[in-house]
Amino acid sequence: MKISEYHFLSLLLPLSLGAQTQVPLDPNCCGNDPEGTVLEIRRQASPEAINARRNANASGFLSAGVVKAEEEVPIASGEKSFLGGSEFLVGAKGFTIVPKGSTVTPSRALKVLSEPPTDGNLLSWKDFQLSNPSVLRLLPVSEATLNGEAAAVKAITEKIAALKTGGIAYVTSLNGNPVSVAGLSVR
Amino acid sequence: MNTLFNKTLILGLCSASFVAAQDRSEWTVTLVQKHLESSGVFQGRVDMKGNRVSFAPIPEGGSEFTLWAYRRGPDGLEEHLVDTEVVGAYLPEGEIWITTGDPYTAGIPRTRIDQPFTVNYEVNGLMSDADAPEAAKRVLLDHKVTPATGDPKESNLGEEVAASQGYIDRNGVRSYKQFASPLIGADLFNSAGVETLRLFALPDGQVAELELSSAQVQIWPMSTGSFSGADPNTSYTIAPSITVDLVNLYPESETWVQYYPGPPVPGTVGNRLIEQPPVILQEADRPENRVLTFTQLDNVFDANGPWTLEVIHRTPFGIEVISDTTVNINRDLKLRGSFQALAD
Repeated sequence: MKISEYHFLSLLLPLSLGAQTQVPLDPNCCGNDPEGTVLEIRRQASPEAINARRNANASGFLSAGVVKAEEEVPIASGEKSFLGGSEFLVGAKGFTIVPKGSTVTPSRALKVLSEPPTDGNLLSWKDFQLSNPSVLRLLPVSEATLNGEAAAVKAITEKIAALKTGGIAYVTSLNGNPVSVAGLSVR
Repeated sequence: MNTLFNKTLILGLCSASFVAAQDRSEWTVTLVQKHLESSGVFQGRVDMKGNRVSFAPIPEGGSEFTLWAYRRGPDGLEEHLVDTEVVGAYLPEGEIWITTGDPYTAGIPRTRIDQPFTVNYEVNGLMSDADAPEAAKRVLLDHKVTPATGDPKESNLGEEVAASQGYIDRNGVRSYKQFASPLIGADLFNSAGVETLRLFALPDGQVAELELSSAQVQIWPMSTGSFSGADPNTSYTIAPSITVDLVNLYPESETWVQYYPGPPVPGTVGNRLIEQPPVILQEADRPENRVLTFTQLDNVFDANGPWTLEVIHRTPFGIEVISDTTVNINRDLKLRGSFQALAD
């Protein structure tokens, strides 16, 4: 039973003694004896008692088989962010979100922003492609490129270099979805 | 590396309660696959519920999958991390969760600074082979505390501080108890904050440590009470008015003042003062302060001698006296003089 439910129960069952009201018992509340006869009122823990409990924490830690680290292990912190790892392709009818670095060639008609636009329609990748058929193309990458095989990376890098003067935005893709592969962007 | 590891993965996309609770038409859900060791970040829109094959084969260094929901909100683009999974060649699995004596289930588990809580964890996939890489043999358990700054009720959290770190090298479900919070503030009774426990796979080669699971617990301060208006060293012919200041009453608690004749005796069940109703914090999500004033105690203290007043605080952790005082009543009329003149 939640303590909040018990509050009302206790108010419904006061035992009046003239001007006094006796403390009602609820065996289901707050660690009382479920047999229903004990109402234990304890003194609040003292600062010394709390500190003693704190000092016992290490024993609980070790009893579960956790081996204390001899030296502090530094942990690289970094808040995950979908928007932080993305860039924003902005066209005439709205904008879409692609992985940072996946737009590998510049375009006269599409802007690439690193911060989310504050206005305009947010379009899905497919809708954005359909609304920009003449200024946006896919540049499929192969598994060999993803694996960093030198010949494949060289071939696609040369291809990107050749495309960058065409004024059309090429987005590297895998199975139709945008993908970023480090080292390919020549923007 | 484990060469038996599958090169592809069927992803079960969760229908997250977060998204389900929202207007589904507003949110777009996207799956992002990021290779951990080599380059490559893939993303694609997915349905709210369903499954699909990973965008790219899982490389030997593993891939991290994140499921994001995003939408255009009133203040710009909003994002919400729905779920994360890391799939690697010998990446262990870990889950950690915290249980406390407070049955609160509406958010992060909560407890009080003097109360124990239990850290539960399940680890699987660790290898006992001595030749296995370090990252395959054990995981790191990291415990950090974030103390509240200033008044705990304001919930201003300060810097995260390291509390302890340890290694887990056995598979299975285990638990251990933290007997009291290690949060340390200038005033121990007034300390509050958040504790965070995280399980990490250890770094390996180019791959940084990876968070496998994390759990948090809210730590609230001790409740305190203080009486004013009566001096325990003074005798009163008329009971004085008494004020009780209650500070940091625990959420979803009940607090009242009880009295009984005689000096304080621990564990005594007295009678409630009914001039003021009990303080019931039914829907509170953080501690609160209250002031109670009693002006009609003369009828309550109906005999000479010491009377004890105690503040009783009922929380999920039990029933406790958080403050007491004594009021001495002496209504005997003492005449100093002679009745002889009247008799004459």
